[in-house]
Amino acid sequence: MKGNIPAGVCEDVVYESVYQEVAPKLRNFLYYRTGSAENAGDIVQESFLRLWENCSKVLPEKASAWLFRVSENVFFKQKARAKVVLKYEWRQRGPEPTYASPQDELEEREFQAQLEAAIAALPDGAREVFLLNRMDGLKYREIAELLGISQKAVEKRMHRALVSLRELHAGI
Amino acid sequence: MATPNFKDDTFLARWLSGELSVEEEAELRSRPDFAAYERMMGNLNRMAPPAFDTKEEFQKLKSERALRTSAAPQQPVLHPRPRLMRRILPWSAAAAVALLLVAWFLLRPGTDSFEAANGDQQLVAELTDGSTARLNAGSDLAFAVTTTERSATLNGEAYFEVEKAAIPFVVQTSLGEVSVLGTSFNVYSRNGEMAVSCTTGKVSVSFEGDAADYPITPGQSVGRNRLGEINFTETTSPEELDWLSGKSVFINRPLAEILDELERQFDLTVERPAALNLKETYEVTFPNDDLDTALGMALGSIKGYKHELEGTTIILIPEE
Repeated sequence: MKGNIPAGVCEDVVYESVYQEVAPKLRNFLYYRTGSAENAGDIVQESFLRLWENCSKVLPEKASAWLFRVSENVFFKQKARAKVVLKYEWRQRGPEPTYASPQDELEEREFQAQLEAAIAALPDGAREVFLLNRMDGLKYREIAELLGISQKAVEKRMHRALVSLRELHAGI
Repeated sequence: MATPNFKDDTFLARWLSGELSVEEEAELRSRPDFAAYERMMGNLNRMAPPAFDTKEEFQKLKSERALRTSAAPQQPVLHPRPRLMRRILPWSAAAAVALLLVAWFLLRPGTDSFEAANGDQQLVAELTDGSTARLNAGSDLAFAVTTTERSATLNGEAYFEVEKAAIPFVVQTSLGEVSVLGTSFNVYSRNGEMAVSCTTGKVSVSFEGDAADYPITPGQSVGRNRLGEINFTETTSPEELDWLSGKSVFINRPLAEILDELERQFDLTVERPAALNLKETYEVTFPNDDLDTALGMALGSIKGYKHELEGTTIILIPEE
């Protein structure tokens, strides 16, 4: 008896479940790095195509870290790198905030614009870790595994990101 | 504005994950800048990246996958008219010969090349035998499989994870070679100095001009310095595997080596004043992804000099 143990991620079911689990995280990670949803989507596709080509060599539980590594590789091979400009959507959570006065609303918009500029100005490593935690709700340990760094390094980047945001945001 | 003064460098990370003790939390809340942190995090809670339609994207991926796997010709097949055919036939014969020659050159032992240029952080080279090599900035690698060995030719520094196979995997550098069957290890070979660290399996190292083999096991390193002295170390020192976690660690290393690494990591030129003692040793760690911090940490400890960044050149200026 052989061939009973499904190796790698060549089975369609396995491949698709890896996609469903990893693709959204990977897309967001690449979005935080490139600032382009389109470019990020392309790199996700290229990375998964490579996963398909190498499907017999990658164990399902290793696939997410493998994909993150390969996607960085694909990213580095791109020649032109544009300045990062991130756009966000607003979560539909509760009613729209109401403001006591138009001044308050204006001030809030300015605060938000400066916050977004400050996030875009963070070093790549700090920005990615920070947003994966804040926006995608990934735990420090999960981020560490995906990026192949230690949990301590993730925590340091988080702390540094907050301190830099505060500094970059000092204008208000 | 008061400079942030936290008791450790993961303090705010632990605040966000709810790991602060009651005392620490109280300390944080009494800070004048706490309100600012809290407000920023409040806004962040309401932000989300653009939506990603997993279902739709997976369909796109599948159709692209089908395109690539079907052996469909890359270009439409041409059906030239007979007369044209007669005219171009001699030329196409010549072209075919040339093409065959090129193909023979390219496919001979099937050499693949990888390069991590200065300023690139890391490059993951997926080798044809299933092994991977992570290249540090300023390194290049050529890989070919023959009937007797898997041959990787390295300039610079790389971390190898080698798939088990019947034929040995050999890393050749100008200073020596490393031969293994299946394991993971780091090779550094720059400026007359070579060092190999083993993380799993067993590795055999030989140095150029030295007939002896130096076998090492996990946790061991062997190196040869410019003077030809061989050094064994029991534990893999943080200096050698530092770059895998995105930083560069130097423990009592000459300044010249630190400046070289800085140039490779950030693709810069550091101008070295004649009066600067490049042989003086320093203990320095810097991140490979954050230029400002790296400059502060790498150059801040050079006494009597301050630094300025102009374009991609760093100038060291003697202090009054």
